[in-house]
Amino acid sequence: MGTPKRPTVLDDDDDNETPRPKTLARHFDLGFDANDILALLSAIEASQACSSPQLSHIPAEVLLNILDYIPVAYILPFRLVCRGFRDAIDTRVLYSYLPRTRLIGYVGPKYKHPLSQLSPREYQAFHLVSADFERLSYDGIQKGAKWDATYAFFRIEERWFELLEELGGLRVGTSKWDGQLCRLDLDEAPEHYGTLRWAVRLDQAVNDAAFPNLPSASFEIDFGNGMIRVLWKRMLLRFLTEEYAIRMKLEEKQHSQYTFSHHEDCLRAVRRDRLRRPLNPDDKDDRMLIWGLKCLRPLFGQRRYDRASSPWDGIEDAEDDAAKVLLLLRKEAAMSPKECEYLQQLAKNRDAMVKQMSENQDLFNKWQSKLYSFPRSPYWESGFPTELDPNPLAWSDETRAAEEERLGRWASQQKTVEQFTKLLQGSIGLMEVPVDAFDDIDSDI
Amino acid sequence: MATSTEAPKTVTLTTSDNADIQVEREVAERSILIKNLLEDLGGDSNEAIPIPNVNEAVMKKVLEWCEQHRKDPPASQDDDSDSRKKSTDIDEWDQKFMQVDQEMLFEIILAANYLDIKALLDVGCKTVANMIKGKSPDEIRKTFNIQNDFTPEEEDQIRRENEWAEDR
Repeated sequence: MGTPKRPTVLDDDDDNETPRPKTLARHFDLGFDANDILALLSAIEASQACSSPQLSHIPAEVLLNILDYIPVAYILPFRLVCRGFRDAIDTRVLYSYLPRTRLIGYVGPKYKHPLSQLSPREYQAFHLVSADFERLSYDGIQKGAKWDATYAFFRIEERWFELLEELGGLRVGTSKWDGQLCRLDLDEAPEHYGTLRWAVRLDQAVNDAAFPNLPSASFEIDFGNGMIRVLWKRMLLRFLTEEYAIRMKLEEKQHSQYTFSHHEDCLRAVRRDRLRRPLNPDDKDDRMLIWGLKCLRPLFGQRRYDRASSPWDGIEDAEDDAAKVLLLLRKEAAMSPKECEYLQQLAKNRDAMVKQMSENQDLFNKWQSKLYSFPRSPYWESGFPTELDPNPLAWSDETRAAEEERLGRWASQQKTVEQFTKLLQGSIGLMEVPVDAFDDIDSDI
Repeated sequence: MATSTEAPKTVTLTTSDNADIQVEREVAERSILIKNLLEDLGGDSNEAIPIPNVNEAVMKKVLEWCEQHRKDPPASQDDDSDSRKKSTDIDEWDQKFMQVDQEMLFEIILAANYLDIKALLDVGCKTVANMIKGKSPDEIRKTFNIQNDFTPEEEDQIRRENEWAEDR
């Protein structure tokens, strides 16, 4: 088997003449031995016809390299090209996704108790929990390629557990946050059918990780050790089918009317389809769910005739909440790191601006009360920034533009603001001098 | 190994169509193949280096890329670093550079593969990936001269799997 430093030699004949290109070595550390590589490459090469002499013949190892760069929402149709492509996608391409895969748990909406007790910032930090890929489990597998492993382990970020403890929760045991931990535990029944509990993020795509009716063995959470064990191939293949379906829907409905937006309507449509598929119309409980799904707000601008009333509208609440969270996560995933950084900086600058304005407001109040013995009208009669979502990704384009303008103005007025602050501080300092401050001075005046 | 003071400033490359191209050594050494050959030949050799798999037109194009990227840091040998994040972004200059017909694009990729210029190969692969990502399986087969080796039943099965991964 090859290693990154000493790649497996495919063909001894030319090994002495030229060094093996690194592009080949890239594929050897994935658990192939020489026979695996030869089988895969020859499967692709065997599929390559020599009927078009005018076109260059791209070697199989380069075709594999190209497959690595196909975005995840586009990869599935490549399985239909030839056996070699299908085998490569089902094994090494899927395996190559694992290190880039992140699981994201969602503890619930802000309005639900006890999350409603958290400040917006605490909720922002607590409501999503991430778990990154750590390793594969080879238990029971004697010999084979790396992707033969059945289970993958993801480690839940320690920071989230620390926050949980700060908020008075425990990893295990009883606390007011047990409901949130239960929501993340897929062994527990969801509050409503289609409730978002875990999402998968891979490159620029984010989607439900585990619904509907996922067997518990597919996604096991061990809060004590902070680990999640998943049937990784199944999870990733479902994720890919989901992304493929959304992309196809986006293309199909490009010129349609929308109930929410192009993206949101398509995301909801695919989710509904996924939720509907496993339901059995002959089963009484499933029939209720099918009815509930039918009563959801029609998509693509269609008129609504029916709406389930409480408590049957839970599916709709769950969908609204899931769509909101998934769309935000997808927006973040689709942004470049530079854009994300810019937005986070914008939010930090805004916080600094609000803090400074608030301090100046206090100073002004103090100055007024010194002057008039009681505070009069507030310094900022209008225009004091209202509280925004601590996550700048949740801001609308209009909000973002307004904040950019406000911050620009604030930055340009910094000098004036500083002078004004000094003036206030100086005036207050003078007014704070006690009445008898000059009594001990030997002066005739 | 030759040091930079002993090394000739330029090297001559002889392409498959017997054209001699003179190029600065630093530029040519973006190719790991050429770099290794030059090191093997020693620093004071003025021998022309044969590049039998690349013709003059393609070699000039490849060298244009090497010239632009002559100061880039060498490619990382650690595969993990790029498997963590697979960026499909292509910088602006490279995008313009890759605006060539398909035949030339494939020739550049083949040359980059042969000459072992990983960064150029990656740019080429990303360009092809962008070009083919929304195409039908038939169109992809045509692009790469690939024959469909599935039976109709197998194709149906894969189509079903692509739509719904439940039963896999």
